[in-house]
Amino acid sequence: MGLLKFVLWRVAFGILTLFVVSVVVFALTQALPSDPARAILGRDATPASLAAKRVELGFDKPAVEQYTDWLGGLLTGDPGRSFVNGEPIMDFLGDRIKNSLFLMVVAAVVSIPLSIVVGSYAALRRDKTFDSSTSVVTLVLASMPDFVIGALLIVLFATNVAHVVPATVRIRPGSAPWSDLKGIILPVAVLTLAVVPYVARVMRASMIEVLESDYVEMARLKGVPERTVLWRHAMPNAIGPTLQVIALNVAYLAGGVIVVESLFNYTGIGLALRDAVREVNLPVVQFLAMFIAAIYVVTNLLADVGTILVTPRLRTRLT
Amino acid sequence: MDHRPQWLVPGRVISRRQLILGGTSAAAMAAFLAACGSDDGGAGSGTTAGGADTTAGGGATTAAGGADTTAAAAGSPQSGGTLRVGVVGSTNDIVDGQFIVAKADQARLIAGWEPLVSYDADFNVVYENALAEEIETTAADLYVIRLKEGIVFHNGKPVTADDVIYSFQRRLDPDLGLAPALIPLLDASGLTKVDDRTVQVQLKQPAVTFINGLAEYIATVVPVGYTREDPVQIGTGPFQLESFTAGAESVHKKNPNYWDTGKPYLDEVQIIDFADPASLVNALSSGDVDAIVDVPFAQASTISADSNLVLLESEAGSWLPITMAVDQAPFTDPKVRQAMRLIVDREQMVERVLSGHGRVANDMYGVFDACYPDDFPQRTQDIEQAKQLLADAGQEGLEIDLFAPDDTAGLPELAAAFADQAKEAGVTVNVKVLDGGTYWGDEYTKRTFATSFWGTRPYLNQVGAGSLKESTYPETHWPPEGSNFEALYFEALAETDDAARCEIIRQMQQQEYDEGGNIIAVFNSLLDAHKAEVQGLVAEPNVLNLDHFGRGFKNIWLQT
Amino acid sequence: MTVLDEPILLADPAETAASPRGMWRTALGLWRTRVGLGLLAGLVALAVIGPWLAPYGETEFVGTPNLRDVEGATLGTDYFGQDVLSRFLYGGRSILVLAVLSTALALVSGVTIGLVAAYSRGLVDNVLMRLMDINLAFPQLLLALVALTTIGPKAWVIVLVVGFTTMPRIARVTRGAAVPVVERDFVSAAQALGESRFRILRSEILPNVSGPLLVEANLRLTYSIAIIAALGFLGFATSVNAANWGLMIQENKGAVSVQPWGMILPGLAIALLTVGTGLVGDGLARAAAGIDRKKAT
Repeated sequence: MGLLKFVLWRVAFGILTLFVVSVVVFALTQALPSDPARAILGRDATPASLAAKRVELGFDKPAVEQYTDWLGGLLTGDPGRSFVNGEPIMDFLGDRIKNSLFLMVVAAVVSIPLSIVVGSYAALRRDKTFDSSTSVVTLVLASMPDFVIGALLIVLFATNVAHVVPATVRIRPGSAPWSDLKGIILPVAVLTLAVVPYVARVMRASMIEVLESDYVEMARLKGVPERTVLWRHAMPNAIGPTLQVIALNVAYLAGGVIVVESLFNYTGIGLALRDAVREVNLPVVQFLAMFIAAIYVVTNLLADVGTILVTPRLRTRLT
Repeated sequence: MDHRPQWLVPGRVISRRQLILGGTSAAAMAAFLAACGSDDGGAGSGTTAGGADTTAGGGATTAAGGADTTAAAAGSPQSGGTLRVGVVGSTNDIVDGQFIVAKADQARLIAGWEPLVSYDADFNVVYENALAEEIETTAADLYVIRLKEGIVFHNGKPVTADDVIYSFQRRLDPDLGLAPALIPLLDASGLTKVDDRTVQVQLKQPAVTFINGLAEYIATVVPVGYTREDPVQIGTGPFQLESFTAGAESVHKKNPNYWDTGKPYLDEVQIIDFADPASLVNALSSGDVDAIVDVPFAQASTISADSNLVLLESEAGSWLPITMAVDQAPFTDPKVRQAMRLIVDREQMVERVLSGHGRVANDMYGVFDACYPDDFPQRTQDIEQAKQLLADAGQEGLEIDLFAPDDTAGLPELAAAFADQAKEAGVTVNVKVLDGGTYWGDEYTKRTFATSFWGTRPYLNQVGAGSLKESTYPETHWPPEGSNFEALYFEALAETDDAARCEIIRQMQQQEYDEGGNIIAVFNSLLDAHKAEVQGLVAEPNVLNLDHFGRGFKNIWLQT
Repeated sequence: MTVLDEPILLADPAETAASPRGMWRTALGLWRTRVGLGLLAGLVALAVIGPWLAPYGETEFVGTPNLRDVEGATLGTDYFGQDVLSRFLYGGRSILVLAVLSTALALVSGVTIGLVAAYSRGLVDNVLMRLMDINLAFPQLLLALVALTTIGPKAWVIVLVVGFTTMPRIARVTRGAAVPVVERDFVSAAQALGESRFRILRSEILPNVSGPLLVEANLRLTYSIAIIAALGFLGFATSVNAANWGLMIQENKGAVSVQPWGMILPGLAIALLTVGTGLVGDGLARAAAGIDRKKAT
C-alpha cells in the first residue's frame, strides 16, 4: 500500500466518519425534550404563532428532508441561522471559532514541545531523580481535574493570594484573539497542565522503548555519536506513537475548552455550545458538534500520516 | 391630586421566556427575582413593611463591605471615565427599549430608555428619574399624562405626545408580545393627543393600578417608528448604545443632550457578559470589572472579606413560593396546605437559601403594599400541629414530588431545604429538578407541587398576575370553587378610596393567609458589589439591582 | 490503518501478554504499586465507611453557609449551610460506584468487541473497528451534555455515556493484544478440536490478553473518575444537593477564598483517587514491560 493510497483511504474514512457523526448528531438534537419554537417565542406564544414558527424553522417537513437540507447547507458553507437571534451561524460563531482555535493553538504550541522535551529527558535519565520526580508530578497533575487546577490558579494568581493576572479573559468583539494576551495566561496554563503530563508520559515510554531497540543498539555499537543516535535514530521513532497521543490531546483541547472557557469566561465555542444546549439552539449545537468532530478527524488524519512520515520502519513497510 | 393609589399592573410583562431562554443567567437567583419583579415594581403608597416578625422595615437597608463609600464621604462627583459592569448573560441577550428576555438586558435598557414615572425608595410613584411632569387622574379609567419640558432623544429630536402614543401602541402590539397583559385594559382608540406634550389615556375598565404600570422600568418612551432592529438605537436615557454583541458586551456612550442637568458623569459604560456567577465574582476580585450585578448569596462573604470591594444590599419584595395546586390531591384539603405551611422553618430558609440576605415571610406577598397585613400572626414551624393536620386529613406518611427548575438558582435549594424539613413531619418530598426549558414549558402551571419566583409588586397586581383562574400564571389554581375572591378583586380594582380598598384587600388576604396555595417562606434582598472607587450608589429598597443601575448609570462616578 | 492502532501508551500491549498473576507479583515489588494500592484502599474505605463516621447527615443544616468557624463543624459549613466534613465523608460512594460501573460496562463491551474483531478478522474486524473509530470522533463532553439534557441527570445515563465513550479505547487495546494471540498454535489447536467460538475466546484468548487489559482498565477507571467529576462540575449530578465529590467542587468553588475546605477536600480526594489508580496502572505497566524484557533476553 503506497503512502498516497493510504492517505486517500484515511481521507475517505474521515469523510465517512463525519457522515455518521452528522446522522447521530442530528438524531440526538431532534431528541432534545424542549420545543425550540416555544423556546423562541416564550411563555406567551399562541398555538397559531407556534405552528407558524415551526413551519418557518422547517419542523413541518419529514425528518429525513430536514436532515438533507441541513447537510446540504453544511456542505455548501451555509450551516443555517441561529434560532435565538436569527443571525447566520457563521457571523455568530466566526469570532468565537477564531478565539477558541487561537487558545487551542497557543496551548498546543506551549505544551507539545514542552512535553516532548520533558518526556525524552525523563527517558534518558530513566529512574534517576528527574525521571522519578517528573513521573510523580505528571501523575498528580494528570490526576487533578482541569477545573480544580483552574480554580486553584485563579485563587493563587488572580483574586486572592496575588493579583498578577486577570481572572477572566476579555476579547472584545471585532478584536483579534491575541488582543488580551495577559488574560489568556491562566487558560493556557490550565490546558498546558492538562496536556503535558499525558503526552510527556507517553513520550517517555516510547523513547525508552526506542532506546532499547536493536537498531539503536546497533547504531551505538557502530560507534555513531550519542547525539546523532538520539536525534537521528531515537527521536523520530519515538515521536511516531506520541503523535497519536498528541492528536488525541488536540481533540481533548477542542472539547476541554468547554470547561476552561466557562472557568475564565472566554468568548469561544465552548461557551457558545453551553448556551446553545440550554437554549435549544439546535443549529448551533449541531454545527459545533460537527466542528469538534471535524477537528478530531483532521488531527487524527494528520497524526497518522505524520507518524508514517517520521517513523522510518513504518515508511519502509508502506512502500 | 394623589399619585399614590394602589395601581394595578396588569400581569407580569416579562414572560417566562426569560427563564426558558435565559438559561445561563440562571445561576443568579436574584437575577430572575428582580427581572420579574421589576416589571411593575413595588406598591403604591409609601409604606414600611416587612414580615411582622422581622425588625426590618420597608426603609431599612444594609450596606456591607470593607470600605466606606457614602457619597458624602467621598466628596463631590468627578466627571469622566469608563465604568465596566459585569452581568450574567448569554448569546440570548437582546437590546430593546421596551423589553427584556434575560437579566443582562435590564442594565442595557435602563441606560438608554426611561419611563413616564418611577418609584422612590419608599415605593411611592414619583416623577423623579422619569419623563412625565404630571399625571392627572380624574377617574379610575381616565389619565392625562403631561411630559416634562425640554426632553430630547439621543438624536436631538424633542419628545412629544406622538412618541408617547407610539410607545403605548408598540407595547400593545400583539405580534410583538411586549405587554400582553396590558391589552385587556387598553387599546389604541383610548389614546388621544391633547397637545404636543399631553396625552389622554382612556382605559377599557377601571384599574386604579394603571399608574404602577407606567412606573415599570420597561414601560419606556421610544421615538415614533422605533424597532428593536434599528441600527442606531434611540432613547432618552443618560447613555446611548454604541455597540452590542450578544453574549459578549455592549458599549454605551454619554448622552450629551441629557435632560437631567449635570448628569451623567461617566463618559462611557461597558456592560460585559459573564457565563456564570462564579467567574463574575472572580472578575470583580481581580479587578477586571468595576461593578457586578447579582452576587450569589452564598458568596457575599467573599466580597465583604476584600477591603477594596463594597457589597451593596437592597431590600426588595421579591419572594420564592412553593406552590400547591389547590384543586389537586392532596392539596384539595385545606388541612394539608396548612400542614405544609407549618412544616417550614422560615428562619432556617433565610439562613440556608439566602445566607441571611433576606427576611422571613408569612405566606403573604406584596410586602411593600400599604395594605400589607403586618398584624397577621407570623407563622412558625410547628411539626406537631402539622402532623395532627395531616392525620386529620388522612395523609400521614405523605409522599409527594416537588418540582424545581435548574435555571433559577435558589429554587432547587429551596426545594431541597423543604424536603429536609418535611422529613421531621414524616412527609417524604422527592425533589425533581428539571431543565428550565422543560420546567417553564407546557406543564408549568399544571403541576401539583412546584417552586416559583416573583418580584416586588403591589397586592392587587400580584393577584392579577398569579392568583386568579384567568391569571397569566395561575400557579396555585387559586381561588377554590365557591370563593368570592375574584369578585372582591374587581371590587377593589374600581375602588378609588385607599382605606376602603384596603378593607376589601384585607378580606382577600385573609382568605389566602388561611387557606391559600402559596408557601412563602422568604423575601430575598438584591445583592450587588462594586469597587470602592465607584461612587454614587445608595443601598436602599429597590426594584432593580445596583441601586436601579444607578438609574441608568447617571448617578455613578469614579473617584480617582 | 491497521499499521497504526492504539498508541503505545506505556508499553506495547501486543508484546506484553503476560499472565496477570505474574504481573501483579512483579508489580507489587514496585513502591508505586504499593503506594497506589494503599491510597486506593484508604479512599475506598473512606467512601464506604465515611457515612457512618459523619457527625451530621448528608443534607443536614448546620449553620450559615460558607463559614469556617462554626461550632460543632470542624471544617465549617458549605454553600448550603451543611457540614463540609460530613458532606465529604458521604460524597465518595456515588463517584466510586459510578466510575467502577461505567468502567465495567466499557470493559465488558470493549473486550467483547475487541476479541470478536481480532478473532474474526476480515470484514467483521474492519466494520467493528471502524465503528469504534467513529465513536471516538464524538466529542465526549458534548455527548454527555446532550444525553443528560435529553434524558435527564440520571445515574444510569452517566454510566451509559461514560461507558459508551470509553468502550472504543478498550476495544482497540484488546484487539491489538489479541491479534498476535489468535495466530498462536494453541488457538488453531482448539479450533481443530471443534471448540465453540465463545469457548475459544473466553478460555484461550482472554486469559492471554488480560495483562495489558489490566493496565488499560486501570487507566480508564482513572479517566472515568475525572469525567464523572467534570460532569458534576458542569452541574450534572444525579440528584439535587446529593453529596458527591465532583459536585462539591462545583458547589463550593465560588467561596474558595473564604471557605477553601469545601473545594479542597473533594479535589484532593479525587486527585488521590486518580493518583492511586494511576500508580497501580503504572506499576502494572512497568511490571509487564519488565516481564517482557526478561522473556526476551
